[in-house]
Amino acid sequence: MKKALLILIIVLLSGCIDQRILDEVRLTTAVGYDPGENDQIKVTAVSPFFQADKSTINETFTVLTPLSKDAKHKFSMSNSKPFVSGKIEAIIINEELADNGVLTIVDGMIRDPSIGSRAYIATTKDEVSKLLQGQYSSQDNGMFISDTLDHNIISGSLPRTNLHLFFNDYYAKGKDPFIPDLSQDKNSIKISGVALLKEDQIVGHVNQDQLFTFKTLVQKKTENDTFLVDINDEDQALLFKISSHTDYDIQNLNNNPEVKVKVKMNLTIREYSESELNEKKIIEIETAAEEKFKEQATNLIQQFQELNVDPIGIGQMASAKSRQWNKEQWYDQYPDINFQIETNFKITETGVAE
Amino acid sequence: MKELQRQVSDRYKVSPYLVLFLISSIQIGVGVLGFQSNVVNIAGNDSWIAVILAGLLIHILIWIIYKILKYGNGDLITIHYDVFGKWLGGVFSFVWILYFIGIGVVVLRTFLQVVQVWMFSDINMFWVTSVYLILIYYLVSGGFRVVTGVAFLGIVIPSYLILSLIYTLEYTNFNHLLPVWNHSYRDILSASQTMTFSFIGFSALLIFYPYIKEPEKSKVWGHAGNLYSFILYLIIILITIAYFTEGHLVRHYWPTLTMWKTVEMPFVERFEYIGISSWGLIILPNVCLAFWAASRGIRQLFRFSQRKGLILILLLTLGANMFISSHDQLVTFNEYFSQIGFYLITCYLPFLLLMTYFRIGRKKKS
Repeated sequence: MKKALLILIIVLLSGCIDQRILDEVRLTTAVGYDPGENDQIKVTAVSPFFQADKSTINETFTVLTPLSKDAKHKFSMSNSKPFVSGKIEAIIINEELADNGVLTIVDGMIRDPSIGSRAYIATTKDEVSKLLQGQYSSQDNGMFISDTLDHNIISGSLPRTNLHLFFNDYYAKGKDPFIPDLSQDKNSIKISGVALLKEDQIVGHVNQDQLFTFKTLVQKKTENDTFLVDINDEDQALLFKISSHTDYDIQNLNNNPEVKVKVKMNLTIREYSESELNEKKIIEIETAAEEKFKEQATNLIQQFQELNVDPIGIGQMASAKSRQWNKEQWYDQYPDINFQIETNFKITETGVAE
Repeated sequence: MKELQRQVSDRYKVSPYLVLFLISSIQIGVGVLGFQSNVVNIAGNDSWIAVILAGLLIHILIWIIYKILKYGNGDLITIHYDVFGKWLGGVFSFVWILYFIGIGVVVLRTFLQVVQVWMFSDINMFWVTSVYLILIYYLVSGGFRVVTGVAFLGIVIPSYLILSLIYTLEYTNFNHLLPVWNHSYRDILSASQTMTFSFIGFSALLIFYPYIKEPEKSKVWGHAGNLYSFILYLIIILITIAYFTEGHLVRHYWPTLTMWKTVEMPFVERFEYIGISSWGLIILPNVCLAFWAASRGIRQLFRFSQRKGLILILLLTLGANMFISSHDQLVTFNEYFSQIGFYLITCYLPFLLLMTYFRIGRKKKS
């Protein structure tokens, strides 16, 4: 009797929960936000459409809405299948819209348990709905953007970024967030740099050719990136970064802070415009690389100080060292801090040819 | 009408080392999913100190409980009876029975809240609670040895979950812990008080003591059980502080679940689903042990069958679960309950120790 009751319960109660079968939902992989008319937001959703021949077509849907989360409801109203947000890989916000604050748009993401922490948040100067419409690969654009950013973070010049890190930096005392800046490039999407944020507003940019230095500065340890160096205005060398280690030493914290930046880097030579390499040349290349890095780093830090943004998190490091640290006071001091950059670059390999 | 039972037959008893699983299984429950934000809200990056203080406090309380039980030679209800007499003792016992029921209700309702928010927003609370309660009835009516078995499995089977924390290490920055001790003593103590709520439940030992073979030997296992959950909580709070920045952390109700969002495996996109499902097994011994203790208390106090007491408790739980219908209500209930629980274990237990010593312990010695 007991067993029969148990079996009855198992049979009756399983499957009571609302099922979501993959073929019967619209799996959103990316969402884009553009400014629309009358203070509304134009939301674009990307979802893959799987073809019978195993290829995938990128499909986009656009609605106008005053509230970003309301879009899901509106999408479903005009589609034969419900939209689900569990697979969102990329959130892209138009820069014009971001001027009103990124947080109002992404606040829903922190509340929604179905959105992963590893999703990317990015910005673009182009119209997002157009950017997302193109067919750039055999994938849908959510996966395409996510893969593009992914491999550039692992072996490229994009520093680590995702939704979790964005919120971490946003809520941190003494650190400001940055997000990748995308742009449409004929028939592809390209990473054109990084947008710097103060609170949740975009205040500046770092260009693509500065990203190598930017990544080295903001990340304690980096690897796998290439750096093009001019030597004596004639020759060029392409260097490959094996590893780098950046240390910040903050002195005189309370009255007149000074920051020493120590960068250690191991490099190999990938390409060199002259055919011959000797010891002297290698040292020359090392010095040229150090100088270029120092110049770029100085410029970047100057830019940060002028904008009064702190993507490196110097304030956070300072707060870990002092009990009296105070956010307002720190940001008052920050633009006048004296930075000293010390570099120690080493070319350890020159490839397999002489 | 049954007799007040002072001795338990040997065949119902469990080995002393199993106390380790009994103590730690009731301490590790829904608290692990979300204790961080409550503690960090008060003590910030010094929260780990608060966790250590709370853990040590529990060690002292376990020591006190063993002393009480040694002098009193019985369970909480018989000690109350011997020390305070039938009526006053009965009132105290009744408060403790309500307290044990409360633990079960809080744990079960909080867990179902997590399921509702994270996985299935459209579940019917009545039916899910009922299914759980049927399972609990099945286990608890099997007797204390079955409950012990569940406690053992509830610790051993889900222990693999600790490995999931490895994925979060990628995003940790242990500089967040610095500077050490930049909060006042007051803050840290008040955070420790909040923290004791997570350790709550170990006081079930007061009821199941007579069920341990050679109870004197189980002392070390009781402390070991507390040490296990204490270290687990410490590891989790350290990783959580390093993983989130403070302002970000306090925005989350369940930081542990948010941390699981980082876990990425080739065969599973969202680890929370595995985690929450496994948590169904982790909270099972929590609820079973609490309800077993409560129903045993009812049997001893009102002298009617434990099974009937259990059914009464389960119906009460079902009602309470339906009554608490929103997150805010749950939070308020948790807050009141943790306050009551805190004073019950930190103030009442030492008081009971003194009373037991003067009324029974001293006489025995002389």
